[in-house]
Amino acid sequence: MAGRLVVVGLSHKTAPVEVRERCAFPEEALKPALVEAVNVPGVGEAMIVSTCNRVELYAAADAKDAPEALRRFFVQCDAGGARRAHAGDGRDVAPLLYAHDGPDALRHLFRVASSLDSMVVGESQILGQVKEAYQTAQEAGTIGPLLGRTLPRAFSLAKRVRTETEVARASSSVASVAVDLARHIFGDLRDRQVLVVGAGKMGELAARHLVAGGVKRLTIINRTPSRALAMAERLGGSAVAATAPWEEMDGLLQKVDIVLCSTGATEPVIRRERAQKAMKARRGRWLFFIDIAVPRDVEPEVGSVENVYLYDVDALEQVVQQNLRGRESEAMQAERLVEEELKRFSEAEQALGVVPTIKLLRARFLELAKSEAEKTLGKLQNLSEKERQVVGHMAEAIVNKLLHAPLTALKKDANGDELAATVRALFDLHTGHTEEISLELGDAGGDGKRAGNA
Amino acid sequence: MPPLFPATLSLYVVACTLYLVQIVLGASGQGARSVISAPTPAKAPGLIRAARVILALAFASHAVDIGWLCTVGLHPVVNAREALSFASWLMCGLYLAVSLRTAGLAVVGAIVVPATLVLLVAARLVPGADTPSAIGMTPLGALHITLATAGVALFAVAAGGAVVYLLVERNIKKHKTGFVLRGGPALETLDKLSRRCIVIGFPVFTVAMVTGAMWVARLPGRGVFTAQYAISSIAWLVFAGLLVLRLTLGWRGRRAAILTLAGFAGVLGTLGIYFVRGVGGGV
Repeated sequence: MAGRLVVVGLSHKTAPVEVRERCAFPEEALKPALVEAVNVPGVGEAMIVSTCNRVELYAAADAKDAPEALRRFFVQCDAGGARRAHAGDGRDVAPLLYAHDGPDALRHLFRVASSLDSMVVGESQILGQVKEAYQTAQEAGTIGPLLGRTLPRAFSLAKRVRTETEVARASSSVASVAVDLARHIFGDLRDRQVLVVGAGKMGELAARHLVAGGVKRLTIINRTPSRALAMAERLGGSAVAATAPWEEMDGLLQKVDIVLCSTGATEPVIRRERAQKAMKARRGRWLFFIDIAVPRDVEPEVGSVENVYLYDVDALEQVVQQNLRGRESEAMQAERLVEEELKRFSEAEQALGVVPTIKLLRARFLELAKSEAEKTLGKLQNLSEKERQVVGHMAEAIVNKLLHAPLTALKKDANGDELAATVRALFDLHTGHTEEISLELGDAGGDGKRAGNA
Repeated sequence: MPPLFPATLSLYVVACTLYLVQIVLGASGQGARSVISAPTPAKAPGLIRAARVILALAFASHAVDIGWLCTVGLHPVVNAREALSFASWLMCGLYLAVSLRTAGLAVVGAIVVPATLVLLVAARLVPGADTPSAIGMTPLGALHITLATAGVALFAVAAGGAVVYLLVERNIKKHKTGFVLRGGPALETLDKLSRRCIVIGFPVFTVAMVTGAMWVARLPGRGVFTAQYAISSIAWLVFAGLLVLRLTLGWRGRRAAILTLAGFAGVLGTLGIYFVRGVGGGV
């Protein structure tokens, strides 16, 4: 199955976090959703990238209206049953969706993988997330030739952008901005204790960043202790991760240095009084709240308590935004790499496509016609130059007539790639023939040079 | 004029410029490379290293000058001029020592090094300050001036740390990434720097106060309770209060930084009076 690349989705650029969260595919729903996606008429391959900043469905599609169909699918899909708390008809989601088709979709994919479309341009997480999405789709069996060729290209481009430009030199995401801020408060993080409130996916990711930043001791509390335990086990490799009952939060607030909040609570978990009480017991030791929960877990007033620093998602993004400006020129250089790669890719795609097959096919037929015409002319010694040309034209005309129907079919077929492959197999065509043959024909077959331009 | 003074001065000027330039660069050019760079980079960037080397050269050259002055009888405590120059030398040495041990203190350097330069220029170039004290210089007086100078140097570095602390703190609190946050030191590091300087500086200053009082009390016709003594007593009280609050109530951070600056303002006031009197010919 081939066709062109189509992407439908939403990202931090188009949709607020509440919508993104609702649209995100839980891990267990990914494979069923992928299988459903390739059942959408005209769609042959599919891959879903679902992160906290973007939810995107990449597909190889033949049908003209595939973007529309995929939009509908995106809004309505509840594969795996785990998705869509909104349960409605998705009317609020649909206007936030974007759809890119063909080269635009390709550009989008390249930019996403190279982290040029990220909230923090240059962050490295996204590449891993796209790779993961690709792997999941491979396991679900929804990767075909188009995505199979496109994604590795995107990965190697992302690598080039990382190594050849300064874009990626920066902190890699909102979470690592938080880690840097922690370093600006505490210096070395090795002896710092972290309290993780909530055992969600985002919290775990941020906790991993803290561990990567040097934190050795974490305590995880969650209303459902089993999830805290599971997370502690996952984090246990590189740091000492303990769990504690929810009720011990006040005691822990007095002990730890960094509090990472990411619960799904609708009301703030930590209010000003609670923070003040903790600070009194801490004798003013610095306390850093990283609140990546939406809705927020920490009351904004907590930030005004002395020696308490509070960063919620907005504040972290604000820091990120303040620093994006400086990286514009680097981003431009990275964009140039993307455009270069797009050009190279489309050339490579063309080499696989219909046009060269037509060239090869014509060349092969003309080659045959030419050799037969030469044989015949060798036997007819007493022909004038004009008569010889007529025989040559006749041979070429036969080729053109014979090829008319198959070439038209090749050009018209939306599934051209596949048909082209069949033709190449049937007539044993290989790239590289075109040039030689057209040159040879130029010597003998009158205006045979046209063969090269077909 | 000591023989190496032009060299010392030029080196201080270059070091000072470099420290200031690295701050400006941190705010624009180099800042483009990172969102907010880690506060303690593994390796100091070239500019900061260069600044530090030149500052060390200035420090050495300054030391030679002080040594030379001693050989001609102008030891550091002979008059206000030499005491100021000595204080600036101590400050510079203190900062160098601390910045070698703690990474990311270049921002503090951008405050301490210019202050050193100003002190040195004031000491060397203001006319009249080299009149030896009209009153008798006794060993007690020499001890007093030496200790007071050391105390001032320590408090000056503490105050430098406090200023940077307040700047960085404001940035972090208000979710801004100003230049101080790029490559700037961590809040805790700054607080620790200030605290240590005061913990060491306070007893030194205390002894300086006592010896000063004893020295002046033995001089004929001079009362202990002068304006400078009142102001330095207030400064001493502020630092004493700060230490008590730090040790008992766990005061730290912003409040401690503000108190440090208040105390240092008192020290500067005392110093100012000394200097004006020194220029006028008396201690």
